[in-house]
Amino acid sequence: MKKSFRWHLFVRIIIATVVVFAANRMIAQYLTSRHIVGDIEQNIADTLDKCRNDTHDLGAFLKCAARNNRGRALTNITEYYIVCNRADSATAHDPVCAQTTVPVSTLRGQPKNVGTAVRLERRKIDGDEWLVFSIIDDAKGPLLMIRHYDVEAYVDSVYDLRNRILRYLAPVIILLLILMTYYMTSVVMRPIRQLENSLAGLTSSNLDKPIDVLPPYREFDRFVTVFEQLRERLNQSFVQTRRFAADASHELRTPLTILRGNSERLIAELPTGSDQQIRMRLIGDEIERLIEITEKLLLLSRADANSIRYDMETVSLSTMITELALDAMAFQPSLKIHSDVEPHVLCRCDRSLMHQLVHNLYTNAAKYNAANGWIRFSLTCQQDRYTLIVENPCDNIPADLVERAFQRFYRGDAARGREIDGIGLGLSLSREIARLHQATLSLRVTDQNTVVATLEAPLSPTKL
Amino acid sequence: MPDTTSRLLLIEDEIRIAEFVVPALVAAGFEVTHMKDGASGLAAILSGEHELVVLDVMLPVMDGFEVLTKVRQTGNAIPVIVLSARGELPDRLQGFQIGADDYLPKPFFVEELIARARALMARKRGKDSVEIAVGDLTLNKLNHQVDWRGTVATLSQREFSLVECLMRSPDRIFSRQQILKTVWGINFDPETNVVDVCIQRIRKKLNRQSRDGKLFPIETIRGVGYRFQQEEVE
Repeated sequence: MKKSFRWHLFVRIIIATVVVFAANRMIAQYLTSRHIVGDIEQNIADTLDKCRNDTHDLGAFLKCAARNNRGRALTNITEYYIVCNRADSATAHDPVCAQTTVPVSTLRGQPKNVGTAVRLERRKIDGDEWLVFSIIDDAKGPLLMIRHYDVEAYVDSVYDLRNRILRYLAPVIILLLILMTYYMTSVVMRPIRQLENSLAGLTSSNLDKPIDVLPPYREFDRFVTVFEQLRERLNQSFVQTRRFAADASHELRTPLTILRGNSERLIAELPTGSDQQIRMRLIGDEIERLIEITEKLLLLSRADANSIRYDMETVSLSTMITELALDAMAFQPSLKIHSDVEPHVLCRCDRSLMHQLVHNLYTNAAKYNAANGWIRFSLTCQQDRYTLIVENPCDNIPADLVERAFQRFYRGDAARGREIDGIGLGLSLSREIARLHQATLSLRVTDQNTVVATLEAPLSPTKL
Repeated sequence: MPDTTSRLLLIEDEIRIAEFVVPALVAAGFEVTHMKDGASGLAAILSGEHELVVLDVMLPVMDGFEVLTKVRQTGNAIPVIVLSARGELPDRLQGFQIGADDYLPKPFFVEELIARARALMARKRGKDSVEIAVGDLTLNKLNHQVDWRGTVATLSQREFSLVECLMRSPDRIFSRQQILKTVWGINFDPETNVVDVCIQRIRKKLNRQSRDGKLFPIETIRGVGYRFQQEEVE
């Protein structure tokens, strides 16, 4: 099966949206992280600067921090150290200054200033990375140390919260995404569907009318124009075919009338049984053949132009086939005729066209029969459909029979070899007649070397 | 052969068709006037001098259907046979709808035209009968009985069609193909003598020879075809 354009579009839009979403999230996260970290550093620096004189007592220090509406970071980051006056340091909790000296450490990276009064260094102590804040112009002033890991953990906690919320929202977001994408594909498909519907309404019967489409978007203008031009050309060729069928009828039948009229007259006038009369009869027979071909070609050209005229009436197919089977017996006593006809099968059809079709099938079965062969006629009816089968054995069935039998002027090798009379239009014409009656006509070769022609049709085709 | 000569008007623009139709109609006993276009044809019909019209459809100046419509509008009921090269169903239906009495598609046989013209004239003169009679042979269309010089036989459907076909165009030689097509409706030669067999059967039914030694009028001409002989000139 072919891929669905809409599905294709759907998948692409989903992929694009997910990519944009992910990229956006990564960039936002990076920028936000930087911002939060900067904020924490600023916070701590400010707190240290404003509360440098309260470092001897934790309560006072925290109060001072709270007073300055700073220290938010310090409430979240529970483990920090303040190194006071290098002499009386304590832990963050009790007492304030846990240490008097800065532990042995190595400086990492360049120190930077946070604000105007505080310097920030990154130092490695015992394998951990620490942020060390100090007051620039007070070498003896207190230091504030925070593990870099704690800052990161704080930032992560912010994202944790976000991710938790997102987990709840994810199904909603995905659903929304699918709905939106579905809607977007609908929007894209809508004008295409509209065009499709308008163009699908185009049949051979309304080909002469311009396409009734006002493309809603200019992108489709060109498309419609091209299609319209195509319709125009198609219509012209249709009109030409139709006109040909009408003109050809007159132009061909008139000289044929004259030919036939004169040849028949001559035959009647020539001495009875004379050589000339016999030869004239041969000419006459060829004229008849020419007339037959002409009539068939005219009918085919009408079929091509979709302008076969017909007159549907109720016809007893059972009678038609039974009579045909009886005639067939009279024509060729050497052929066995099997006739299995369900009685009272009435169908709506054009009597003369159906007669032609049925006769064509019989004619083929008789002409291409095996020596001392047989023909089987079968007519059955199932509910509102009937099936007509004409079967005959055949010697040397060409391998491509089924594919080529319906081609015009195809006659198979058997016909040429055995000089079988005929022109090879019968089956293609029959198929056109079948089509007119909404029937299917097919040919099948069986394992027993028989050819089976099957006509399968509704008893009453809907009005065309 | 008709009791009184019928004055027939042929409206046909194709001279080469008229060239063989007119002599044949004249030979069949019609008095023929030939017009070459619709307008003069219409004038001729309305002059009231004719008893029967053979009207082509495709005509210059005014087409056949138009002529026929105008004729019927004036209340003129003259019998009209329409000839058409288009030969399609709508033409036929349209022809009958606007008042044609008969319709003959081209290419037609002159004998067929003559037979239809005679039938129309007979109907017009109130002699529309269920019987066709040519020479000594009478054919009943209802019960398919044939009567030849006192010998009566009932024919089967095909035998009847065959005799009728030959009788409608006496003296015309039908080829086997033409008979197969007209009587049996088939377009190929089954390479059997089904026609001969059928004719033999008819002859047998009618005893071949009448008591006074006359030959049965259906004649086989070897290599040419079959013919219904009108009574030999005595």
